[in-house]
Amino acid sequence: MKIPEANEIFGGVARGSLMAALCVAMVLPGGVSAQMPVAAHTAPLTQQEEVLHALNRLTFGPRPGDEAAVQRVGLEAWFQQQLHPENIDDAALETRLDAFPAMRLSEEELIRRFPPPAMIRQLAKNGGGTPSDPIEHAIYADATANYEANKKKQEQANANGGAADAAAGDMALKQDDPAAQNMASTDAMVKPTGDADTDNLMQDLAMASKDGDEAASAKAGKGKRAVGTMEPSEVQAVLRLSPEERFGQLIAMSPERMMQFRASLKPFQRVMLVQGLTPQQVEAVEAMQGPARVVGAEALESRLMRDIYSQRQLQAVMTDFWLNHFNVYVRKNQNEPYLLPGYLRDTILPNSLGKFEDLLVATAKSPAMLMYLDNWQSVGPDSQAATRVKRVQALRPNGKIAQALPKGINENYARELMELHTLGVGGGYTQQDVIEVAKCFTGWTIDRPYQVGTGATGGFVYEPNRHEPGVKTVLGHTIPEGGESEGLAVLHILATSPATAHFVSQKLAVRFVSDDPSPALVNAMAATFLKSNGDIKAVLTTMFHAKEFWSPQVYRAKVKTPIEFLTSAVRASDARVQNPLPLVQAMARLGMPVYGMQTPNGYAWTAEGWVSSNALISRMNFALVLSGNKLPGTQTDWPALLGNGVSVTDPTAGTEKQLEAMLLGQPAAEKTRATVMAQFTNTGAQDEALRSFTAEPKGAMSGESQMSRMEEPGMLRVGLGKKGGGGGAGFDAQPGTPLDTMAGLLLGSPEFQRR
Amino acid sequence: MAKTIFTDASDWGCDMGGRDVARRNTVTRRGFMRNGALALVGTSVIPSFLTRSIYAEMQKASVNKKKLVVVFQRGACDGLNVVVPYQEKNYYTMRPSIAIKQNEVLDLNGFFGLHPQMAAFKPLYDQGHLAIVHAAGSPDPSRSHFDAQDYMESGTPGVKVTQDGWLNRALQSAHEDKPSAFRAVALGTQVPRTLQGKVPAIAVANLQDFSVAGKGPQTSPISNAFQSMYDESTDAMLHGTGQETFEAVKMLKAADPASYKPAAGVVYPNGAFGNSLKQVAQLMKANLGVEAAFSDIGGWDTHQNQGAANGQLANRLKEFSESIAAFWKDMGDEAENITLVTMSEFGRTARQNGTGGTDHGHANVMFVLGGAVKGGKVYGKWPGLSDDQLNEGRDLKVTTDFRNVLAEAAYKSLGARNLQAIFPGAPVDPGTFLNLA
Repeated sequence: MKIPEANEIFGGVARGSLMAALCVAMVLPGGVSAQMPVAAHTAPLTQQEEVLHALNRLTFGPRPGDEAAVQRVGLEAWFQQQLHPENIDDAALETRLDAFPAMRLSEEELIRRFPPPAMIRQLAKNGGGTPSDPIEHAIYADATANYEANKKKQEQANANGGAADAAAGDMALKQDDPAAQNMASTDAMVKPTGDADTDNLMQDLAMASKDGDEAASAKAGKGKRAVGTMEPSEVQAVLRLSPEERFGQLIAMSPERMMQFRASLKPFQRVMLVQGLTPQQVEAVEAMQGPARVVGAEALESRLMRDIYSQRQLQAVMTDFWLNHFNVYVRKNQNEPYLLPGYLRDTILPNSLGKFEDLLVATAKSPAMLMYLDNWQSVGPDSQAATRVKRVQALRPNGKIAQALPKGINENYARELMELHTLGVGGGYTQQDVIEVAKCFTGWTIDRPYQVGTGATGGFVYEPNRHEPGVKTVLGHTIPEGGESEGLAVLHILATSPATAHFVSQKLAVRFVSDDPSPALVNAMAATFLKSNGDIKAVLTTMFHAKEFWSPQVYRAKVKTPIEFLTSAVRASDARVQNPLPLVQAMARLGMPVYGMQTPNGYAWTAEGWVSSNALISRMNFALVLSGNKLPGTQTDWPALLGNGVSVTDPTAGTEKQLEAMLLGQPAAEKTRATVMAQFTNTGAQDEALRSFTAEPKGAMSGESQMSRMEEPGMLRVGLGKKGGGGGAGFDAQPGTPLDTMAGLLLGSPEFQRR
Repeated sequence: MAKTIFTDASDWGCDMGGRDVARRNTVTRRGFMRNGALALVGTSVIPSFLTRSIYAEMQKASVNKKKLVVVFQRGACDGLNVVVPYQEKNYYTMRPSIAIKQNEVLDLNGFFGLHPQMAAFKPLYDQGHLAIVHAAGSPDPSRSHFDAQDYMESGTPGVKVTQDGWLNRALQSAHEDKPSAFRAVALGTQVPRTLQGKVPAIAVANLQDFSVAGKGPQTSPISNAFQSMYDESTDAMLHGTGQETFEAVKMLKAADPASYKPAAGVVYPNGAFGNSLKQVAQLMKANLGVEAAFSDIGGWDTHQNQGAANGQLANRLKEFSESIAAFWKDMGDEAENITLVTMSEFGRTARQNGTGGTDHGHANVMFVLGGAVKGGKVYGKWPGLSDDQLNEGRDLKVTTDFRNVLAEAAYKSLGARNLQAIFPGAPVDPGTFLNLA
C-alpha cells in the first residue's frame, strides 16, 4: 500500500505540529493489518538471538552489557539464577530505594507518619492530640492548617457564587487537567448530598489538589492575598542554613509562616530547600505540605525504580505480572495508596516466584485487595454483627449509623476471584457459587482501618462476629462451618482447579510467548501447574524449555506494552534515573498509568489495545524526550555509551549502525535507517516532542496533564528536589544534539516497539 | 504530579472502564479493539482549492442525514434507581436504605419516576422527545461485566467469536456511496467494539488539538519521521494504511469543528462524558458527515455505599443526564435528525446488598432520545418486582431484548434494513419494534 507523503497531499506545505496526528486512530477495514504477516522470521534462532529473546521476554529489556553477561554464564544458568532471586545481589537497587523510606513502613506506621485526609479532617474538626514527635507534630499542624486554609478559600469561592467567572484563570488551568476537572465536577455535585463520607473525601481531594497549585497561584499573585509572603531575604536566610539547621527551622515554623515561606519560594529555590537533607527529612518536608501525596507518589515511583534497576529482573517482571493479574487501583479511595507499599512488598513480591496458592491467599488477605474489591465490608446476614445492627436499627429505624453499617454480603470479591484471579469466566462457577464464596469470606476484613491510636494494625484480621454461620457449598464441594478456614478452603479448591491451572498458564504464555500461544504449550504449562501444586517456578521452567518459546514465529512478535516500552528504553539507553516522578507521569501519558487500571481485569498483555497511531506517536515523542535529556531527573549519556570518537554534533552512518546494534540488538529495517539518517539533524525534534508529549491531547488522560505541568516548576516540588536534583530544576534549555535525535528516533522506531 | 493521583474518589469496586474519569481514556478495556496504527501525521496548511473541494464533500455528506448516537454506561447501572417503580411495595422492602422515596422521584406516569438528580431529563420526557424502555436487557445470563459488555457491543449475546460490532454492521447495511471519514466516530483513544468492523471508524480523543495543530507555524520533523517509519514499515501490526486518516485530518482542518461553541445557554458538565458529547455536537455541527457516534461513561459499578437520592449513584446520574440534555439543547434544530440511545451491560440486584450497594443483576433501563422519537412514555412490559416475579429470585426480569431497541433505532435513524445481518439470529423485525418512533 503506497501512502502518499504528507507533502504530496498538501502540495509541499506539510507543516504544523503533529498534534493532529495524535488524536485519530482508525480501524482498518476488516482487520487488514493484523492479518498481514509480521516481518517473518523463519530460520531457527541463532545463539545470539536466543539470548536476546530471553532477555526481551524475561526482563524489562536488555541493558548495554547484558547480552554479553548472559553469554558468559550461559542461557540455562542465567535462567536458573533468575528463578532464584534470593541468590542475586540487589544491593544497588536497595540503595536507590533508600530514597523512599516511607515504602518500608507498615500500614500502621504509614498512617501515623503521613496522616490521611480523613484524619486531618477529624483533627481540624474536633481538635485532639497531635503527635509529640516534633517532626510528626509539624506534619500534622501544617497539613491541618492547609486543610483549613483551603476550606476557607473554598467557602469564599462558594459564597462568591459566580466562581466560574471569577476564577476564569483557574478554570482554564483546571480544564487542562482532566483529573482535576473530574474532581471539580464531582465535588460540585457532591455538595448537596449530605453524604458525609463522600463529601469529606471529595473535599480532601480537592484540597490535596489545590494544595499543589498553591505555588503556582502564589506566583500569579493570587496566593499572596490569602497567605501573605515572606521577605526574600528571610527565605534566603533559611536556605543558607546547614541541612540540619534548615530542617530544624522548617519543623519549628508555625503553619502560617510555613505557608508564607512556601508561597515565597522561587522555583530554583525548591531544590535548595531539600539539598543535603536525609531521605526521611525530605519526606517530612514534603509531608508538611501534603502527607497523602508523599505516600502515593512514592508507591508509584518505587515500583518503577524496581522494574528498571532490579538485578532480579525475572522477579520484577513476575511482580509486575501478578500486580496486574491481581489488579488494585490507586484511586479506589483515599486509603488505597496507603495499602500499596505493603501490597507489593509483603503480598506480591515474596510470592511472585513461589506457589500460586500462597500468592492467592496473600492477596485474599491483603488490605489492598480487601479494600479494592470491597470484601472488608462484607458481613454475613446472619452473623452476630449483622444481627446486632438489625436490632439497633429496629429500635431506631431512622438512625443513620445503623443504616450505614454493613449487614450483609458483597459479592464483588467472590465473583472477580473466580472470574479474574483463578478459574476464568468460563471456569464453571454459577451465581450460587458466587454467593456461597462471598459467605465463606465474610469476616475477612481490615483491622479497623484508618484510626490511629486504637492499636489497630491496618492489616488483615478475621472477625468471627461478621462471619456467616452454617455449611456452604462451593463448586460442588461441601465446606463445613469453620470460620476463617472456610475462605482458605475455597482458595485451596480454586488454586488446585484445572481451570485455574489453564487460565493462569494461558495468561503467562500470552505475557511471555505470544499473543496467541499454541494450545500445546499452554496445556504443558497447565499440566506442570497441576503436578507441582502451582509452583510458579516450575511452570516458567516448562515454558522456558518448550520449543514454542524458541520458535522463530514468536521471535520479536510481541508488541511492548507501555511499561515494557518505557523501562526497556530507559534500560537500553543506560539512563540514570534520579527522580522517577516524570517517568511515572510518562506512564500515564503512554496510556498505562501505574496502579491506574480502574477495573479488576488489569491491563491487556496483547498488542491490540496498544498500537493506535495515538499511542505510537506518543512513544516516539517519549523516546526523543528521553534521549535528549528533556525529561527531568533522568539522564542519558550517549557519548559515554558509544565510546571514543563519536561525534555529538555530526554522528556518522557508522554511529547509527552502532546505535542500532546497541538499542535494537539487530540491524534496523531499511526504511527505519533511511528515516533516521534523513531526520537526525532535525534537532528541533526533541523540543517538538516535548511540546507534544506534555501538551497533547487534553481531556483524554490524566497523564498528559500531569506532564504538561512538568513545565511548571511548582509541579516538580515533590519529585525534583528530592532525589538529589540531578536533573536540574526544570527542563534542560539546551537544544538536543543530532546524536540524541539519532538515538531517540531508533527508540521510537517500529523495531523497538517489539520484544 | 502526584497530587492528581488522589483526585478520583470513585469508591465503587470493580468499576468498568468508561470514560468519565479522564484517565480511563487511555486504558484499553479488555476486549477486541483493533486499531490500525495509522500514521496520521501533521498537516496544517491546506491549499484553498483543496479546502473548497473538501467542503463540497462535506456538504454532500451531510444532506438531511439522520444520525445515531450510542451511549454505553459501563459498569452496570442500577436501572431500578434510575427510573424508579415507586408504586412497587417490594421495591421499598428490598432497598431499605437506598430506595428513592415516593416523594423524591420526579414522577413520569404515576408508576415510574426519575431519580431526583435527573431533573435535566424531565423536560425532555415531558416534551415527548425522551422515551424510556424499562426491563430491557440481554437474553444471556452472564453477570461478568466483561462478557456482558462484549455481547452487547457485538450484538450477539452468548457468541464470543463475533468479530465486529452491531453498529458497524448497521452502517454496512445502510450503505453509502462515498462515505465520509467521519461516518462512524467514537470519542476516546480507541475504537470500541461496538464500532469495529468493515466500515472504517475513527476514534477522536480531543478535537481541540486539531485546531491547535493548525496554528503551529513550524514544520514537524517528528511527523515526517514517524510517518515514513510507520507508514511503510514492514511490521504489519504497527503500520497503517493512512488514506482515510489523511482524509480525516484534511476534513478536520477545513471544518475546524473545535470552533463550534456550544449554543447560547448550553453548559456541558465538567467531566469527560460532557466533553465527549460536546465534541460529538461539534463534529455534527461542522457537517463532517457523522452518521453514528459512540461515547461511554463509567462509574456505575456501585457495589458499596451507592447512596439514594444523593450520593455516588446520584452524582453519576446528574452528570449523565445533564450531559445528554446539554447535547440535545446544543444541537438546536439539528436535534430533529438525531436519535440517541443509551445502554448498560446489565442491571443490578433488586435487593440492596450488605454494604449499601447492589451486586450484579439482570434487566435494566434504556433511554431513547430523538426528534422523531415518540417520547413521554415508558415502553416495555413491566415484569413486576414481587419476590416471585424476579429473575433467579434476585433481579428484574428482561422483557425487552436490547437488540429490539437498537434494531429499531438503527432502522429508523440510519435506515438499516437488513436486521438479521446486524443482529444474527435475534428475534427482531419491524413487527417486533416497540414503535418508539
